[in-house]
Amino acid sequence: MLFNSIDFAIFLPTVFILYWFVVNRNLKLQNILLIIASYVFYGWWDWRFLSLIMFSSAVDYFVGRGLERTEDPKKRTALLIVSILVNIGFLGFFKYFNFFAQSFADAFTFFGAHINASRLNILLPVGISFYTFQTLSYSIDVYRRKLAPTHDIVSFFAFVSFFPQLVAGPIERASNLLPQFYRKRIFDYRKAVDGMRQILWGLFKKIVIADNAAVYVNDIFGNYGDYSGSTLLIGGILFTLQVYGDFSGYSDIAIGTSRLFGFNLMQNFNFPFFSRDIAELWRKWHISLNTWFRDYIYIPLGGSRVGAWKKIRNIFIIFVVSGLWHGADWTYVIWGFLSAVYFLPIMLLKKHRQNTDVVAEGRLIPSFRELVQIITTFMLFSVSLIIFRSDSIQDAIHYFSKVFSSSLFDSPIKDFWTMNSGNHIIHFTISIFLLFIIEWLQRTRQHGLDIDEKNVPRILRWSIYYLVMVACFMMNGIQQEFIYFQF
Amino acid sequence: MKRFLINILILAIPLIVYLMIIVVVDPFNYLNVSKLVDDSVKFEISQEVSPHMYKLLDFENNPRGKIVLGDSRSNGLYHCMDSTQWANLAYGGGSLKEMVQSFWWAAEIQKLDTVLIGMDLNLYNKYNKRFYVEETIEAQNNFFSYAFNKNIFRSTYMILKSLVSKQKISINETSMTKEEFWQFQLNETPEKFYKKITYPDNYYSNLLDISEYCSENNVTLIFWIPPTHIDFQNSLEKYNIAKPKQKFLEDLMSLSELYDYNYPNEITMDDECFRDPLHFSHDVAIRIREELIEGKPFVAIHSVSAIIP
Repeated sequence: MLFNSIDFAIFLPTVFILYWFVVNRNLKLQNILLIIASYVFYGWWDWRFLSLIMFSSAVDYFVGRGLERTEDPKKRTALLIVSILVNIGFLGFFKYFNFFAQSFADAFTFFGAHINASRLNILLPVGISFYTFQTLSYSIDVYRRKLAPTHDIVSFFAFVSFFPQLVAGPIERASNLLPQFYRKRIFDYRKAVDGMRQILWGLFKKIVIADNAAVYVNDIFGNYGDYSGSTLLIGGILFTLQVYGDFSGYSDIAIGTSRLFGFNLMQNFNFPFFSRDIAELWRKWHISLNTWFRDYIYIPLGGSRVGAWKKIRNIFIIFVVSGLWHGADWTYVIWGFLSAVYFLPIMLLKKHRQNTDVVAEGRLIPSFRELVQIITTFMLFSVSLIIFRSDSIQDAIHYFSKVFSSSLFDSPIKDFWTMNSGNHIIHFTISIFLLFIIEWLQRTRQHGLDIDEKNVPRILRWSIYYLVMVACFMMNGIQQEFIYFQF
Repeated sequence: MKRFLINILILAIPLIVYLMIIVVVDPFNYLNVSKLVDDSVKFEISQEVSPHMYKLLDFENNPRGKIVLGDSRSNGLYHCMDSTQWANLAYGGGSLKEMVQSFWWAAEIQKLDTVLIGMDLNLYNKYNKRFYVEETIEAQNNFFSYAFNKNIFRSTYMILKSLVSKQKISINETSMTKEEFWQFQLNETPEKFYKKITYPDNYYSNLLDISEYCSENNVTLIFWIPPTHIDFQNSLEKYNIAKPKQKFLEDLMSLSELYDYNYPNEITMDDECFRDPLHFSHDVAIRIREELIEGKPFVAIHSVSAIIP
């Protein structure tokens, strides 16, 4: 079920009431309730997917127990390999089988031979890229002895399936989330209220920004041959906003929902559009995934503590694998490659940690230099996302050839006029400005509606809540699925 | 916990009150239960605020086998038709996308008998793709998405305002004189709708699907091209639309019978036959209706001879 659906609006209060009023006295029962609720939530898409997550959970639980029982390095390695094979195996089969089969066949065709790629009618289980990484991090941390294996199978199953973050993250580390299932949760008023605010802000980003951007993005990318270069560039920017609104919106709803149940999830987006360089952007965008790749691939490869060539190799591996994680298509691979190209100079010049403070801290307006840096970083990112969004490499090439043509200087107004959007484009533009203003003002806080109750009177706070709700109602158009569900 | 729940409840009170008002007023007869507000008031206000929502829900509540699809010209034709037999699914400024979606919406609810589709070349354009029907269908999916919708909010407010003030609320009224509006239409409309005419592959296949469905299900399908004033026809010459227009006519003729009123004739050359260069008068509408439905000859170039049963 989608977060912005009636089903979820009924599901959440029901689970909330059962959690805090019916089973609250018994920790184990609370965790069992969370497992049941999570399986209902997940099974709402397709009940057949449940067997996968149950199997993955069981394998990693027993791998953890096995790692505890043996000190033999070979046996420990074998157990870890079992966990990797199962999780990556699931991912590889459901997500990448057709991609690799077709690519293999295409490669043979290139050399003159012909192979019929055997394509399977495989349904991609929702969230598989997320929960497999989550359980894998548990196995790896136990193997590395960074985490004690759990004996509590109920807590472990609840950790893997925890519904707020199950289908689109944040990808939680066992060291952060699992211990929260061992401890009794006490209802915290401030935490719950802030959770509700974060949910509201997430809904705003999803409904007002992402879903409305999608209307134009789908039109522009579907008919890019008919529009001017300036319109196509705007299309790339709108897609950047769409994916941010969609994904960070979902993360906010997930984190906010978790807080209603007394859990703390990690921040997944830290106002990335105010980044002054690409390195800073990647520290602030999809934090849970990027830190996962850093800790479990980049650092084991040697990270940046190796020679220049290996450093370059590691950067490319990380970004290309990250691209591939997003989808089984060459566009994602090329996007990852381009992201590495962006990152490499700043890394080799050792300037990737020069912007670690809050931009324009203590000031309302950024300096001219900061503004140029922010806009440049944003535009570079948007341009790379054009590849990400394109249906094929060929489409991406054609798209770019139009962007970087003389029609880049044509006015986009007549193109948007033909989209018959009426006043919608004006309302949407205002919404985008509001998003940027609010997030800029809140850039030192956890989310856009992270309000200090001591400094903001109740009447003003409640007025803000109602305004955001009204904005969601007024801009509520054609519901789009969360983009990251396809990953 | 108690404080949290109380605050949530207090926060929700305005929303609950709003929902109750929607249940009582029900501006588009979504629930079709409350009769506290007269249907004539809803017709005057709600239909102007969101003709899509009004007409789609009206069809759902009162389905009929004969439907009119098209833009404001078809809407004008409908005003002289028997509303007990014919349903109006034509929307001012409507796009072909909306017409296609309305057709399938209607076909799912009611076994259709006759479909009248009024369209001109401006609708047969890849770039004419307004999507209000799709939005409306999504909005009326459940009561909450219906209630928390800007059009429902606006209609409810205007209905309540009219009931309280006991005054007629005017929506979408223009302050221009006939001559001013005439010139406005000649200046604005051609540029907006005809500058970028591009053949719509997808629309042709949509219409083909409709044509095949009608053929398989014994539904009479008629296309008709509304007349426009000669001033308007002349203003389009600079857009080189001769070839697209020819293709448009050929496509429609390949799909079903066609009545073409849009060429220089005694009607299109007469100012008195038009309210503005695009919209024919009520008298003309009656004559068009008589020709399309009763077979009484008028001025149409008719590609296939047939009389609607």
